[in-house]
Amino acid sequence: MSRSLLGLVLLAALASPGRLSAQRVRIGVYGVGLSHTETTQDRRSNGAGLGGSLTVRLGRFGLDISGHGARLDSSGAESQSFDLVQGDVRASVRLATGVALEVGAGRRMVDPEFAAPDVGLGRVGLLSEIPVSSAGAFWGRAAYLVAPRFNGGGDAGLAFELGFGAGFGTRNGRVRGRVDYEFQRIDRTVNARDVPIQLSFVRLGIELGF
Amino acid sequence: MSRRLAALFLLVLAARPLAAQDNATVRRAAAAFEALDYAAAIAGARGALSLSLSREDRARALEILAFSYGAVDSATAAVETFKELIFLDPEREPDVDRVSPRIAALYASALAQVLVVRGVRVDSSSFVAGRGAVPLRFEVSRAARVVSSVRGTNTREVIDSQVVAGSVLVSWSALDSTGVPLPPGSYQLVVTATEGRNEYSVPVGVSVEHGGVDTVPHLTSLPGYTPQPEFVSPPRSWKPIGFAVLMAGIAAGASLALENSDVGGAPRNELAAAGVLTLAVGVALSLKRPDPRPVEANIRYNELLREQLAARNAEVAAENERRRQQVRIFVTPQGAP
Repeated sequence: MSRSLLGLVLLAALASPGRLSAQRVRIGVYGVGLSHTETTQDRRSNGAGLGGSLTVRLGRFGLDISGHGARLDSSGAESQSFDLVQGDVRASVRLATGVALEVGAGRRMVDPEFAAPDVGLGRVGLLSEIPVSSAGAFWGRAAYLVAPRFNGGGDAGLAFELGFGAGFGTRNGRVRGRVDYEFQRIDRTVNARDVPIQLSFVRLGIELGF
Repeated sequence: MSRRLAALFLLVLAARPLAAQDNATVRRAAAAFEALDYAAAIAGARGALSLSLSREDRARALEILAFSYGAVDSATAAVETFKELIFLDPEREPDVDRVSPRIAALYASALAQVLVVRGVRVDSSSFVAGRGAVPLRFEVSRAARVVSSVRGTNTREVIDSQVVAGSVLVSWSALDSTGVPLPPGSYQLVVTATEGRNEYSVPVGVSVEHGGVDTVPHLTSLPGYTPQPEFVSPPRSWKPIGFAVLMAGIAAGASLALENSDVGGAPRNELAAAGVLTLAVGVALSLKRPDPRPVEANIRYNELLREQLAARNAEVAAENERRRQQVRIFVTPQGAP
């Protein structure tokens, strides 16, 4: 069933004519490699997983929804392995050529509970997306993370995320490969004790445009 | 002496090939004429004319007789004989380059005294019905009412009627009185000259056929105008790799600089992988031939060309629609009378 559906989607995407600028909706799947560190370098976990994304562009407005799940294995004695599921929503409005205001929210859940903190957050930042040709584009983003919440309590002082990426695909823009990097730093404080969280991940995936 | 010289001059200039004569009497008269024995030539020609001769032999006998009368200064007899020759064969006349001026003058005098229509000629031609005509040429020997008409199985139309003399040109449109093309078939163009009680008619057979009118081919381009390329590929650019370095450099540098010192310092495999791949995309896009860019001026120019071409082809289509309703008429003469 899923294989047939994927085949149909691929065929529809490849057969339809059009240019990149005409692609308003993109659906993508990607592999993700993550690195999660909490409190000290000893509580560092690495892992990989799979995810999917949906991108909509309509005039000056854009919407990005993505989510992935991964298994992270601990590299230190003080932490344990865990499963991570993360979802992000970003809405943007273009302010000038190549510059857009981006707002959104994100949620990261960990299983087993308290193996790492669950995080919920809002974000406000800038997105710069530069299409180079019908086949490729580069982007970078920076956002301030607003009022992060944790299942173990605590507050965040400085919290931000940075990212960049590139896309490269067919001339008609129907199929595009993409790579993203994202770095997230949350200086969490629990009972006046610093419990910083740092997450970085790379995504490598493919998108179909409609 | 002078008479002999004139006769010799006449003989040299007026001599015609005699091989066509079948009748022995005519041949003898011709031989006598060539031998400057005009009395024998006159007697021989008269004798021949009393016989039953072919049209050609009779015409030749009359010619020898008229020339001989002219040679012996019998002008009246020469003119009368020429008149008889003209009625028999109006197209036959002395070659002015070969006969003496005296003979030519006697022939002209005879011609002016009779009413004949000569040199009737219809050229093969084709034309679109209502847009052309066949030229009908002839000569009238003296001023007369000349009526040109066409006659067919069910057709009897007057083409032209006028009082003329000399060379005449009449145009025949091959249409009936209502403007409809005459049906295909054989027709006779009859030229009738009337002067008092004298009348002379010459028929010419013509064949009329119908055909379609050629249509005009549609235009695929406007002559003298060449469509311009609407898209032009710009030169290869290194901007993509510049953007890749810019984006990856700023984000990576900032993330490294802003790492939390308590948790930073670990291997940054994700950053390295993303950075390398982004730079690779930049290199690939820089090496790739840039997308063709639209050239607005050329696009507008081509639009104008297409509009003009469409307008011209609309005119062609209208013209072809009109032509498909037309008939091309082919007129071919069937031979002289």
